Amino acid sequence: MTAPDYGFRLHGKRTNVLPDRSFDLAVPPHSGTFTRRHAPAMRSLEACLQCGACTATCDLARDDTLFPRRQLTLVRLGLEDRAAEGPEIWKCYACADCTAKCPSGAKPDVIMRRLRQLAIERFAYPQPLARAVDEPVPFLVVCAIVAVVLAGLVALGGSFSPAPGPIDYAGMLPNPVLIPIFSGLSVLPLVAIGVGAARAWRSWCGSSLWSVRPAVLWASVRKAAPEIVTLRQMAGCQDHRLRSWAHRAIVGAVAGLLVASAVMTALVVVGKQYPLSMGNPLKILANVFAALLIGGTSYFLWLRIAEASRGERVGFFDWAFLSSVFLAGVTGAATEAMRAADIRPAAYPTYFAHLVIVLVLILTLPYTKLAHAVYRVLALAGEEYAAAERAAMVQPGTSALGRTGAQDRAAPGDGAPARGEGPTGPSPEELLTMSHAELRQYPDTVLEDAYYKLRDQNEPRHGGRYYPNMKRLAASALEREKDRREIDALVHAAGQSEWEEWYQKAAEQPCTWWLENHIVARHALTTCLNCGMCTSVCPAAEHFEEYDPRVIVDTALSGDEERIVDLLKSNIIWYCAQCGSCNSRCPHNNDIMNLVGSLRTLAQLKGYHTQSVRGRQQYAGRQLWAANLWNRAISLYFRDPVPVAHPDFGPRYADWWADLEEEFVRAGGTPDMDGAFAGRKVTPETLAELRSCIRAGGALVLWQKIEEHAAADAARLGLDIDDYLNKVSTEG
Amino acid sequence: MDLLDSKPVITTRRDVKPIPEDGYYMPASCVMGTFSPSVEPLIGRLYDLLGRRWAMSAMAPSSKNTCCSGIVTHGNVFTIESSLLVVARLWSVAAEAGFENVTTVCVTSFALHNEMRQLLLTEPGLADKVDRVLFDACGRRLVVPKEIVHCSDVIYRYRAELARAMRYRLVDSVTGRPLKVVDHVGCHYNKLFPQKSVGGMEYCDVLTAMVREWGGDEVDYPERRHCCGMGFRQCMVRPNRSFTLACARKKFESMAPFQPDLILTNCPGCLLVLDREQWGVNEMTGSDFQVPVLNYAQLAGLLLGWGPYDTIGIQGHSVPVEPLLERIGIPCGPRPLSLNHASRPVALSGAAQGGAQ
Repeated sequence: MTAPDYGFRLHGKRTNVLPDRSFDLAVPPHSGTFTRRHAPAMRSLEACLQCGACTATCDLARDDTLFPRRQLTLVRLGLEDRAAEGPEIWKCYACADCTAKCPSGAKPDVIMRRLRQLAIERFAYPQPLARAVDEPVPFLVVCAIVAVVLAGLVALGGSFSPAPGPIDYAGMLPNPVLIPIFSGLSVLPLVAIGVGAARAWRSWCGSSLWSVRPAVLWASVRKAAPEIVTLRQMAGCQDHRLRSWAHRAIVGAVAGLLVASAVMTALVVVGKQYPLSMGNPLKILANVFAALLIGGTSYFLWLRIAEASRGERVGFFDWAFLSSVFLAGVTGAATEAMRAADIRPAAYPTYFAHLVIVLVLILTLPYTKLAHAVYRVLALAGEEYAAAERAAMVQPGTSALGRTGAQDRAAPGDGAPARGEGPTGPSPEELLTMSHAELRQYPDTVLEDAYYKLRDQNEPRHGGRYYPNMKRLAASALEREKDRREIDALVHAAGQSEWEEWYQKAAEQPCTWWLENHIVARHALTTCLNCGMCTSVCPAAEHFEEYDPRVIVDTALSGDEERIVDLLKSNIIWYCAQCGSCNSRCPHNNDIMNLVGSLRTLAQLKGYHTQSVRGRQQYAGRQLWAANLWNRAISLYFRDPVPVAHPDFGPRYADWWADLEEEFVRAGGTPDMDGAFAGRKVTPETLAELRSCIRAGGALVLWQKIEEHAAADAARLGLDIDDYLNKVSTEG
Repeated sequence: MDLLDSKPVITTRRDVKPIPEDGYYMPASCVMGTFSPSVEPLIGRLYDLLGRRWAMSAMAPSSKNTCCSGIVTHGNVFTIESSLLVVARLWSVAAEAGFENVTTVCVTSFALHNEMRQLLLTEPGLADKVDRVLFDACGRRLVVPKEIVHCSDVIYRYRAELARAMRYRLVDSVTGRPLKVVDHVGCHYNKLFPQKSVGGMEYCDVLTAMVREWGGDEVDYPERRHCCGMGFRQCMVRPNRSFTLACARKKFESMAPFQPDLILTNCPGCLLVLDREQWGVNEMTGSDFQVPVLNYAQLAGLLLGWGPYDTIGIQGHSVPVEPLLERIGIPCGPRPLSLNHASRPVALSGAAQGGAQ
């Protein structure tokens, strides 16, 4: 194994693995049940430093999908469902290069393994069966039932004491009984895995598997076939080459044995002589496959045993799958060997055991680790399908780099296509996973349609109507980009209210004009004795040496434009906590608190706020409170205060948060549901009314100015808008 | 009667305010809903117990209730005219539902509703303009409520009626001694419109009257009227949070010598800061101040004998409430461990141990 290299590179090039902020302000769901169930096995995750060494070493990582660090972070935040719902986890071959490079021993490959198990559980049909095969007792019960059924078949259609002579397994269970039973029972898992595949497709692509265009899907499968057949990507695994070869051996063996079994069944059906002689080429080939199967699974079993001996937890999910495949190979080989050696007393029981194991493998296919064969193929094909769909939708004139004509025509610095222009095509789910940069190429209508379609999708839960996408949309890049365009269009639309026009005009006026005309500023001050009572009771003045409400009032009353501008460009006005202690003591009933508020509004209209660290933070406030109000009719969404952002709240808060949705339901709230109490989703009609009020009062002008000044400040600092948001949310 | 025989009367200016008897429209609270989801349903349950007519939405389950815009207004990413229209729309929803009084859960909502009403009264022509723009925006008309009060005002008004229904009193069940309670009234309840708070700014009595009525002792302390430090931009924007912690610390250090058994609040933000930041302050300063914090509705519910977990939601508090319940004699689960930064249990001390002497 080579020494760990922490100089972060992506595909051989040096890269800065920046903090993944795509869910900084998102407020996540937190079911966490799977993680809790598997907590001992996932404990290594606690060591994750978020350094990105795993991403830098992973061949599957892309600039915009920081795989696998993103998945690790999501699990740490309790967003295990979100981590498991994407296709990326299926493209991972568990080469464990990431684990080898991890400086803190977080073992990303172990977490990926668990996430795939969670995904199998999520997609399984019926789901309780998936949970059953993860527990020893239910799994053994399934095995026992299969054994009893097979024994019944032997009793009814065969014989427990076959006729003397050469060993003939068909004497115990005749082929006319065996073949229809196995074929018929195989239909059940095929139906179940079909339903699972459809669920997975909807999760990854946002559309129904049954609505795909067959020709495009077939072309996609063919395109993905080289990877599916040769596992070419595994060649990139550097630190565990033997593991990749073992995996190839198993995949090849399973495929080969399936084909050989089918051919042999066909031979039996058409009346050819069976069993085949040991020298028959098909027999030889099948024996080679069996050897590969035993060899490959032995290697993985050895790895798991080594893990267990190091005190690491290996779940029953892994043990059951590997043991079953291993035993299927061993009993199959033993059956043949015993027939050749004519060990009659052991041959028939071994054959019976082989049949039981194979039937268990077939019946539990959709629920065990074997299901990954289907999901991985589907994920690879799905990736090609999505790319083909996107390519088909791109308008004529698309350059080789994928830039559209509309994008090229966009105004400098804007980067977004004009309304109604640009490519269409990606599903809402795909748009939801895109970065700002990717979203910019799509027209407004595509983003808005996708957003509102996702928002209003619902399902029954907690005894009411539940909107599962609310949490995913909150603070997503899709929501922010949609808001930016929606608000920009409204601010520039015809039919402005008089207040909207007033704020547009006020932004161009001197500060002294504002203080004489803004309704709040006009009502704020009567007269001032400069007594300093406001400062004496002000908590902010106590905490921040340079903050002095008396001086602020004095500056506002001075009529000195330059002095007011200096004040607006400073940190000072942003120290106020808006508690109103000053108001309560002012002998002249001045409204100092709201005077500060009025000055803050002016600073943002003019862009002066971006010249101070505390002022720049308003962009974070705009993206948090105002986005919540615009999209959820509340200023604070109940999923906003994530424990990782509130270490000051302590571990009991994190514990409470871990069952957030359940706690809300228990308390009588309606988390992301229709209803009146905490966490409710308001109806589109109510939101439309609220938005009309917000717009008519001129707030959109302020929001658009904040956005505009943030973009300019970000450009000045050489940051993209996501990095800028991160900067203003964390600096100070 | 001979004047000389009469006892001297202590006269302090105590503001009084009309508190409507019935018919309350209750706008939702963002902070309360986010951090203490049990409180809004709890207030409704208290109103039901008192036989009051109330509603949170005009047509359940499709709530027409929205945020009052308090956080965006004081976070200063909003215009005052938009606030006016958002609040006016809520008043229209209340009128549509047949309510002429608004009772707010949040103290910032209380202040904002009152500010908007005051602005309409003091700016000539503004009411007509708001009515016109509101109608253009969403087809609603401006209907100014008869009274705008805080939900704690209603509980204050009916504190004696509630006391008669209570199964427990604010006294130590073993010694019979009244428990010591410090109040913390939200700044936006009594500092912006002192004349609209029970008792005014300095002698605000809305919570302490409940404490006395329900058997406890009101305890004064020097920084009683100091802001908790929530401050919108301060606690929600992480780099500014030092201010919040500093204010909370100042209050805790000020009340600690009086060894209170309970901190009582009527503000969602204060409940949040005083409860959840105790852990942070203790971690920073090495102190072990652990006094449970309750909202008045939670306290009333507990004394009425309602379920501490399913109805009151004490499991959502950062400072364990169980030691207080044990002292009152309210059945509850085992004391949860208080955890330090390394998630290791630390011993409860002081009042949280029931040891405030």
